[in-house]
Amino acid sequence: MKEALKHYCGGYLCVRLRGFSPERFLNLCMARKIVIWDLRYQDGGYQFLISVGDFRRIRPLVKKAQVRLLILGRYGLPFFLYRNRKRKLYAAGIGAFFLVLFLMSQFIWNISVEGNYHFTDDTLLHYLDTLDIRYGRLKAGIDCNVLEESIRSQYPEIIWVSARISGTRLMIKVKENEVMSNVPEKDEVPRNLVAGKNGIVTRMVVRRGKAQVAVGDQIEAGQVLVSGEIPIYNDAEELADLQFVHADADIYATVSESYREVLPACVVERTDTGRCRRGLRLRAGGLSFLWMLPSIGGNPWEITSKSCQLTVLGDFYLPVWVDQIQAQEYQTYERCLTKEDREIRKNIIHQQKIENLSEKGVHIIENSVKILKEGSGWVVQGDFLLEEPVGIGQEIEETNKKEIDQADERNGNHY
Amino acid sequence: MFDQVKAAAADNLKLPKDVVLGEVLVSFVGRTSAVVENYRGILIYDDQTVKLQAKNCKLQFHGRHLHIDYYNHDEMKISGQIQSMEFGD
Repeated sequence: MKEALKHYCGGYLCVRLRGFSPERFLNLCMARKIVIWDLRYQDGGYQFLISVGDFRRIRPLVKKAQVRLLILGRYGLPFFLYRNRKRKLYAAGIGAFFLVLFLMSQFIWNISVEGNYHFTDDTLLHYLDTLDIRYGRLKAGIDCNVLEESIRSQYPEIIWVSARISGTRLMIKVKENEVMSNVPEKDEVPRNLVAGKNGIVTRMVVRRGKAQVAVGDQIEAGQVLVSGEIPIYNDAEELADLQFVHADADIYATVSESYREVLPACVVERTDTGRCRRGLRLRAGGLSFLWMLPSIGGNPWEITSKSCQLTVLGDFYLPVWVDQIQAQEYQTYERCLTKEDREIRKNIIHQQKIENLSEKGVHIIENSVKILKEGSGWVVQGDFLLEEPVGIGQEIEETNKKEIDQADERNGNHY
Repeated sequence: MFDQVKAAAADNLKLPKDVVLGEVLVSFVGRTSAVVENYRGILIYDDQTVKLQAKNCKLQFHGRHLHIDYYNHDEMKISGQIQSMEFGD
């Protein structure tokens, strides 16, 4: 490849060789380090390629070997330029191309962010936008060191930033602090634990607070399970004080849950007709050019497109986007669900519910599902018997505390 | 005499003979191309025969549509349908 480019830039000739001793001529060329390539035997003579510089050096060898040379063709850049020396607009076009390429290379046309997990690309790009760094910004106006400092100061969780301009691309690499910078404060607000659902308590572990129920008790939603009010009694077993704590416990109960999902009698199905159209959209700045055949017939089309930004030599991003558009024609029709269809949909719905419960860490003790006819459609009804945590924190109201404080004052209790 | 000593030394020291003795080295890629190293010159060339002079022998390629992709002082690449190659004195 390198040799071919070198030959093209320097220009080369296709030469026919005839004469008394062509092999001697070839050996003489080899001895004088004259490079000959693509040597072929054709029609009783030889044909080869030789660079322009070497061709000028072979005149003495021609006489010595008593051969005759005939130039069949001239190739390469010098000959191309010579042949097109009068085509001024052609040259102007080539010059304009390189001028536009040079001018475009002075701007940022792509910004890439790597190494970010907590902060999304959009967050960082939006912040860069506030710094006036966006697509189409002059490269000369961007100071990478200042940019690195400003990102670090704006986002303290980012502990290392590297900003680099490569071609027309601004590459930002960040490293985030993997250790959390601030430990979440422990919630110490006094509260009770109340039941979120009806059920029967199966097991409980109380860490703080006073248990109000025991294992095997029937509970109702809203009932206090663990109280955050701890009574303090004196030696006479009289109430001396009430302490308010942040009740904390693991309370599990068996609860019943059911769901209902409506299945329509008929569903709208979609089928592809097999006809498709392809097209291209070119977007540059605010302009957009679409090459695509118009749709024929009244059927709807599903249109998908894949967008890519044009690049030259890897990092040289151009402000031009190409969308590859694909349109697929389809028809819709109504179809009544058969018994098998209903069975399949019922299983899918029920399986989805089971997966949702499993993701929450709920233990499923029993489950059942059935299909019921309801009006013109069908209903999927599922029942679960679950064992799940039922305690919900409920802050102890200020009024309760005040009432107790006032009662203490009337009784003469001061602490 | 000196050549025999060099050959013995190359044998005993397990040195490559193409380097020490200047022997011709031929590498084939299938039957469509061959690279010849350590040759001295071209004796005969047409589209069916390429005859080369090496230091201690001659070697001759037979085939069809033979052409020389490139050649220089060190090596030569022959392409085409190579049918045989023989050595001669």
